[in-house]
Amino acid sequence: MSLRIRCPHCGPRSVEEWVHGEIPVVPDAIADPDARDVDRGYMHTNEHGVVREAWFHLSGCRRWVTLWRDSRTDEWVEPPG
Amino acid sequence: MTGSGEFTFDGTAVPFDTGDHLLTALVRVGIHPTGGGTLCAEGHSPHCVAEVDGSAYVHTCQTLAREGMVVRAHPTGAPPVLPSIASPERPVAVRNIHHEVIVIGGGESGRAAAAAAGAPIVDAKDGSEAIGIYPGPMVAVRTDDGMVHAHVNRVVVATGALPLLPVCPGNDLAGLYTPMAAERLTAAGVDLGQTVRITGPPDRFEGDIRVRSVVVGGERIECDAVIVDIGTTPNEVLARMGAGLAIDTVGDAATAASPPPCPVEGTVCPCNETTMAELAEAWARGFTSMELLKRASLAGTGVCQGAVCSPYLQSFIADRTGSVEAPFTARPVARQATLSEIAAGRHHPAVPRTSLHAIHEAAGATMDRLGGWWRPWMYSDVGAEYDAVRNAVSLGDVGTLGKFIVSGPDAEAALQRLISTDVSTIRPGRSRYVLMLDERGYVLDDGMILREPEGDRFFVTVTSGGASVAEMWFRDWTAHLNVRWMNVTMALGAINVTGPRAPELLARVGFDETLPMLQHTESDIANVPCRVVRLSFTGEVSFELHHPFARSGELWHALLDAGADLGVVPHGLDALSRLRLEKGHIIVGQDSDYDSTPRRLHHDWMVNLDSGNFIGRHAVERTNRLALDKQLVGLESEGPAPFEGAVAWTPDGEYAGYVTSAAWSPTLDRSVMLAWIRLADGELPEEVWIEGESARRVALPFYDPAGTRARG
Amino acid sequence: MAEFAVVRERIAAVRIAATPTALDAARWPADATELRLAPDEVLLLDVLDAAAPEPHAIVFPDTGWVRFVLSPAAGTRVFEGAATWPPPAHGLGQGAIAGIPAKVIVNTDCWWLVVQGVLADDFEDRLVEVLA
Ligand SMILES: [Zn+2]
Repeated sequence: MSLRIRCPHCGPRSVEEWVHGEIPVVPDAIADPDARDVDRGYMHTNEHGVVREAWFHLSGCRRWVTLWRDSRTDEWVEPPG
Repeated sequence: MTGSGEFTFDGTAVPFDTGDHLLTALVRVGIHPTGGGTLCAEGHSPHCVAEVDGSAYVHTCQTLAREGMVVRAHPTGAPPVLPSIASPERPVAVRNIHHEVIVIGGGESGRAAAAAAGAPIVDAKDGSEAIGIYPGPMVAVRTDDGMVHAHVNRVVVATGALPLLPVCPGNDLAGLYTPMAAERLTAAGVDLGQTVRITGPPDRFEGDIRVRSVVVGGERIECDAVIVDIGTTPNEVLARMGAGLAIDTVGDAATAASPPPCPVEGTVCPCNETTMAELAEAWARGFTSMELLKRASLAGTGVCQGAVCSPYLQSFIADRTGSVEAPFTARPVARQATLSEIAAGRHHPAVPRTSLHAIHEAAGATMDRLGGWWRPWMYSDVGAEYDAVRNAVSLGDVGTLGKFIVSGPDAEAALQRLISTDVSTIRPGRSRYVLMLDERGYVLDDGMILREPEGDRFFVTVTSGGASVAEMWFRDWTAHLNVRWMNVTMALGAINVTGPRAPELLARVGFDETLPMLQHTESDIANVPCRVVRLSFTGEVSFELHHPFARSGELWHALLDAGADLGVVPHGLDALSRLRLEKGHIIVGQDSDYDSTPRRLHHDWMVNLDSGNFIGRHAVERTNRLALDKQLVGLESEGPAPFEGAVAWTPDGEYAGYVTSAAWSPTLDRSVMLAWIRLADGELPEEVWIEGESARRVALPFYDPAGTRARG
Repeated sequence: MAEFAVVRERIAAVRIAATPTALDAARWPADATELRLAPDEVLLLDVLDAAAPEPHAIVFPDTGWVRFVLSPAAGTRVFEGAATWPPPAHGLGQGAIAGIPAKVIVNTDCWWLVVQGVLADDFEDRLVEVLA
């Protein structure tokens, strides 16, 4: 109903204001641009752990925000490393 | 007691005293709301629920009796009847509050937690009942004045303990009460008859409808009522809703009670009538953990969310594994809620209205929600609107188009990446019809790119309704580039002036330049600053006039006034969809699908494989090597236009595909269609059958194939 | 009920997209109310034009916004009844109000709610409903 997502520009806002985007990170080891397209397009994983997520703040600043979430607990976490 | 009154239960009048809950009045006259099962009078047991004034699953023990209430038992073995939607309830108001911490439960531990944190308390006894905890965290609270949504950073659950309800044969008889229920009913003057208190798990209850005796430790005791005093279990259903949320559970709600002895037989989940035998059967099938057992047996999936069965599932598992598993998770809500309560504070998505909305309405247009906007479907006569475009001049409101300004040293590089054409060859002052592909090589959207005279600036339009998706796509892919994007979709109005006499009309309002096809310029038209774009979607000479949002009305009226003798009238979407179909122009999202490659769409001419690494290039190269399996084609027939979505069959009766757009063409005097058609043995069929009519495959466009009319 | 009256007005505004550093350093016309929509985008209310803060900036006179002027009491009531986020103590906040993307500007004597004109009719209906 109201998962809260922190916008670094606007502040915490409920999930209804956002659009979730799938932005899988392509491993650096894949260098060829076309191969990176394919990895991005088809090789989605569903990690059981800390995942990078992209959210677009549609009702606010209309910008992408990158966040890290622990898919085991549904908690927002600090970026790894 | 004064001021007594009456309500009805299944049509029978039931008297009540002022201050009675419904349950009290029912038990006083010997009625059990669900026929049987232990009553708790605290809102936890599922055995007192009934339909009250049209709302199902109402706890009668929590609802004060009022004159004329209509109470009905839920049907046996079937869900209660949903309320009629003929008389929708008044919307329930919501009050949003914001706190650091909120405490649920006003007992000793709750008050202590509230004092320590300086936090407010929500307590059902004070008329505010927390019915759910949602991510946020957000606590949904029901009050007499509507819902309260408490947005907090931490929730303290201090909801105490629940009485254990018995599981044994006969636990569905009437006459079984928790100590609290017996106390409250007796205090309200209800005569429970000959009562027996048991403090250990019963072997069974005996009786027909009402209990007549209880057997404990092998000893039978005759009675009219049994007070079942067999211990408590933490009341933490709200805490179990909040996996991953900042919730602290304190007091009795947090005290892990050792599970009761595992029952041998009886109904363990009264909500779903799951028996101990069914638990054993599910276990034997391999569902050997708490969450699996719940899903396989349905125990705990009912309205009480495990108030009865949860401790017994723990003991059932502990008996077999030797260890006590945590109870299963719960889902909001913990109490029955009406749809109006759940919908409190929610709104329909607002549908945007163009700068000309009020003018269309005043002109009597039929407005409809199309492509994410309110748009005029038809003004009064679709035939006249069509004729005005083909033979004279007409105005169309195209303010719904997605519109963007792009600037910066990397603007061209950004568009090269996003668009499947060679953007570097679009010269200043020129424009091009383009496709956007996704990484899979499927068409995401189509639109126009205009290069400004400055060279490093562009104006981009995309499909109506596609602006937000396009903006997300643009910003995502070009975040690393030195480029500025501005979404001006809602900031500009746009009017399409189309028809053979369009240049004549524009000359009368101040625009007499010769603007060749696919070129654009800026000019004041009727004193309104406009970006003028020469293109064609209708198949006739067309000029799109993009202008400041607030100036649309004056521009529209100036054009209508200036062209009255030319026959200018506005056209709606109905006419436009016929006009563009005659030209074979696709509408992305209507004629395209989620797997439409440019080749399948017959738009491979819009892909320039020499223009660098645009998104989807690799996929296009790869799919181009595969055999073509289906294609969007033009069909025409002598019969009436079929429904969009109509199935096409081969002459042999094989499935061939389906129609995406269809209309009767007055100009061509036949029906024209776009349809997805399968190839058989590498060939498209020459003829298909649709709704009993033969349809021929023809080259696109249907109308003016040489394009002489659009060029003027 | 004047306390809960809603005044609706069109506004002159200029929207600017530019680098965050250029926007940080820019000086706007004295009459302008600056709303920083995003790190790289600003909306200036009550001005007709503004100078480009950097060579590639997009400076766009934007007539597509509508302002609703409310008393502080009405503004507070709107947030209680129709927003899941708290209003700012002062200045700009942006997010959904009554399900519609909105900007709020909390001034000492009045609150402004600014929405896109294409949604202003719906927004006005919802304001009236929540203030009823
Ligand atoms: Zn934001």
